[in-house]
Amino acid sequence: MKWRSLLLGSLLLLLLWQLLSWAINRPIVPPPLDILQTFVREMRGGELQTHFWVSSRRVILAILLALVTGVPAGLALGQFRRLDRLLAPLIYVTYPAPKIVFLPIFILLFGLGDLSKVLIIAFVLFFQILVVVRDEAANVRPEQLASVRSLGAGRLALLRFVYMPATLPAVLTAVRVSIGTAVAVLFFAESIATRTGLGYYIINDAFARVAYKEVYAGVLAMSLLGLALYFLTDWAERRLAPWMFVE
Amino acid sequence: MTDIIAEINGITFGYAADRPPIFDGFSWQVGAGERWAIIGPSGCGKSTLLYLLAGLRQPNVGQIAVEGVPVTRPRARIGLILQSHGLLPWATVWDNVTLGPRIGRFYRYKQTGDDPAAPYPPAAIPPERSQAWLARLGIDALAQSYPAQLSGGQRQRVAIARTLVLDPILLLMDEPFSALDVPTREDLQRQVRQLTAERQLTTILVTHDVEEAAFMAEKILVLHQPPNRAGTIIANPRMAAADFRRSAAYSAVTATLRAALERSPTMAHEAAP
Repeated sequence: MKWRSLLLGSLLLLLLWQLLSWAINRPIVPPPLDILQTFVREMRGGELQTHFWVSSRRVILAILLALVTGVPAGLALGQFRRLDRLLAPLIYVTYPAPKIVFLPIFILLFGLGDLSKVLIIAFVLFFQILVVVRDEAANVRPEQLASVRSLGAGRLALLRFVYMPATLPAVLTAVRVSIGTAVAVLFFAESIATRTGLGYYIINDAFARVAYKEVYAGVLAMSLLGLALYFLTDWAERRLAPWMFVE
Repeated sequence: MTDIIAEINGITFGYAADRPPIFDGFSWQVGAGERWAIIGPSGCGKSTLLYLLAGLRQPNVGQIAVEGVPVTRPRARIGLILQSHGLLPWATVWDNVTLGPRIGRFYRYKQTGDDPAAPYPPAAIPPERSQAWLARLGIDALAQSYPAQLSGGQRQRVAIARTLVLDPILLLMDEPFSALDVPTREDLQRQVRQLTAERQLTTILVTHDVEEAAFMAEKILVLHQPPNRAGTIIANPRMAAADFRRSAAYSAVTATLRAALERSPTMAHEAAP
């Protein structure tokens, strides 16, 4: 079903694009097969491949970093009400603020290399994961806790046998929802003051050279990166949370 | 004279300082192998008493001891079965039933042998024991199902198996059959009654159902509106007899229980359960 949707969706997109290209009939909307050809050429021999891997590494590291910081922080806030009461107002105030505006500060603090990009993406995702995990951990049923405690579980065992599995689906959902944001932040972070990554390739390389087909090849690479992460999350959910899929 | 398994000594417990306590200088003793029921109007503190015995709550004053050891936290040797929502929804029946053994392995470096004070389950409970309980409760075919796929009665069977795998010295049950339909409830009552008799397992069953208390327990503690200083204890020595439900003794005990509950001052204007 999933693969069929993917195939049908891709075919429909190709078709619509082709129609659009015919209708506009200018180099700014090249036909899809030309774009695919450029994409394959650039990915095999050109610079696109290097930029693709650089970007993938950045965004994956950032997601992992956001997970290893956001999940424990959310679990802690969800379990310790007093800590949550102390920090909740701070999260409430800062949550809606667009974290991307801190990019210049991150660049000043962490330099022009990978570190500042990974950190700004992780910073954006951290809050989304934190809030979801906190709410999920706080909503664990007291009956569940009482009955598992009565089997002899202390705080660590509760974390292992109750809180972690209880919050896992929400974590994966948070990651899935965050992927779009992560790739968008990546694009923006890579489009200034850098010489690597898909953002650089699209804006500072292809677009500056008015090489439309290369621009689209870069856009395609970035979309595929997002799609691949999305599928990876789906796969992880089926592996790690099989109870979500029973009738 | 039977040995004392659980002993409550002059406890005072309340949820808030500005309200009267639920228990005020309350004492109670449960002997080895005895089967008790606790009954009373809602808000009388019957579930609270169970949570105190389970170590999930601590009295403000006084002591609670099980096997002579003060109960300062929950212990694997004190089993607890709740009305609902006790199972882990993300774990299969098998993973739920083997949760106790897995917790035991999780704490394997902290084991202290057969010490009754040890809160953790033993580290080496063979899977055969879990398998045997699944079979005994008739749920072995469901081992790979998730709780959401089970009926209410099947879920309670899983909860019972999960608790009994740890071989508890004291079994606490908080309205375990209340959410079930009548045939399922009576079937499970019969089965639990038989199991606890076979193993001479000390049990305390909290219920709001007079018939259930009479059928399941040889001693019944009737609690009243708080503060409880002492409960009324009603003996039901004939409960082990075959066909007890149709005997005169059964009618007598249920009548006595009803009378005891009616003496509870607020019962008259209490809402139906």
